[in-house]
Amino acid sequence: MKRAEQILGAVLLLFAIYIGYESTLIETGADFGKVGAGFMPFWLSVGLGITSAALLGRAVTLPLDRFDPAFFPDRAGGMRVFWVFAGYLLAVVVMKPLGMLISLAILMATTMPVFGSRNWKIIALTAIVTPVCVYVVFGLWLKVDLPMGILENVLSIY
Amino acid sequence: METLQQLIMGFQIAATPINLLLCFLGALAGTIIGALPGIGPSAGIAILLPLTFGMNPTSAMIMMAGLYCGAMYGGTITSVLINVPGESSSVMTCLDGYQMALQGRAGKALGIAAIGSFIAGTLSVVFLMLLSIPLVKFALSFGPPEYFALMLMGLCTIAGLTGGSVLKALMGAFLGLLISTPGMDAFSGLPRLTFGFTGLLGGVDFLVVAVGLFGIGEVLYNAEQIMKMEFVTEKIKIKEVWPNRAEWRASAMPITSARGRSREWPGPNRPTTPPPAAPWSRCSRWAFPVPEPRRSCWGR
Repeated sequence: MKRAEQILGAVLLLFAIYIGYESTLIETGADFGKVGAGFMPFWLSVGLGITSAALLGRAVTLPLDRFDPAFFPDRAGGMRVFWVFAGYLLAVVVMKPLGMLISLAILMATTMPVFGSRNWKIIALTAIVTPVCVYVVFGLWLKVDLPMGILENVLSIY
Repeated sequence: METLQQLIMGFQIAATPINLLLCFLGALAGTIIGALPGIGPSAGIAILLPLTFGMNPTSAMIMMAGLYCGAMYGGTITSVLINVPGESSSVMTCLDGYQMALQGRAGKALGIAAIGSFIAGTLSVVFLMLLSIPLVKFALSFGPPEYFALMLMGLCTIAGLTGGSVLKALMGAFLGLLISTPGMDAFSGLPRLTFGFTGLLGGVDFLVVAVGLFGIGEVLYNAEQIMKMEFVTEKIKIKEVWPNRAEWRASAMPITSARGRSREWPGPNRPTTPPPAAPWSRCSRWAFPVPEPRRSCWGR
């Protein structure tokens, strides 16, 4: 956990610095005693910065035996987490241009080998059937405005 | 006396067979909808509103009330079984309910949640009915300083809720508050931290954060372990859902004290009331210590 806390502290410290900087760029607007829209995020980022710096300092200075055992038991476990995380990230990135149905198919195809079957036929079938079911239930039946992306002109909701 | 007469008249109307049937159907549909992560009572009512077209208004209202209560409870199902809150008010159920599910007592957890929801909901209605006038006066005396103090109290309970590092708890609090800041500023009307995304103008919905926090965490945990699914094929009897005497004793305090009364407070909404109530619910964790094995499923 020592390494995990080091990473967590460093990432959150950078995040706090960035948000703090962005907060200073927000216009104050009307003069409410110099308290503008950026007041809350700025001071929250200061609080986050202080606590994350404290966590980072603690993780750097304390000896290894003061921490819980490592979070990832082995390299394979870490790879599986990375694979699922990458699948999620990819699905989010392609959601707007390709649409929800294709991104859902990608998500199913990337996560199923980790959680379920490794048979490619079952994976392919699930990756196709799931978006179709989602489209029929939410798009056609409940008329939910799904982001269709490139399929917008092919599959109509209304 | 007049209030009592009106109450009796209300019961007479509500207890007709057709209204009871509609209430049951609404509660059933609401439970199914509430079990879908991300679709809460409001969205459920919005989706199923067309069902009430053509009904008389009283029956429609009764059905919608059943649907609302069903959806409120439905969120508990996913909280207990897969550690993903179905809607914002069932976030805290993940803490105790999922741990009971890991012990193979998901049925008991769902039973306690259902009974607790019924008792607390009934108590809330009775309290509201009897105390609505003084409560309104009390609520109207709440201004920004009081709301601030109430929210501060909620944040202070973080120190009590964390069994581990207070530093990490404070970090989580700051991060959580930061996540709530994107959107239109309430005072100046200026957009802040939207980074050019119009979708962020409305802010980040609490339910999205809760589902992401619990759901993604659980998914990644399962990915890290090699997930082994065990399906229990034996038949589960409905009486096994009913809590035993020890479980009743352990659950009585959280049901009646915390969840029942905390909803009478004027300030906090559904997501903010359970955290202050959670320390009470710790008694159930004392009664049901969590064993080492993590994976299990329904029943057994």
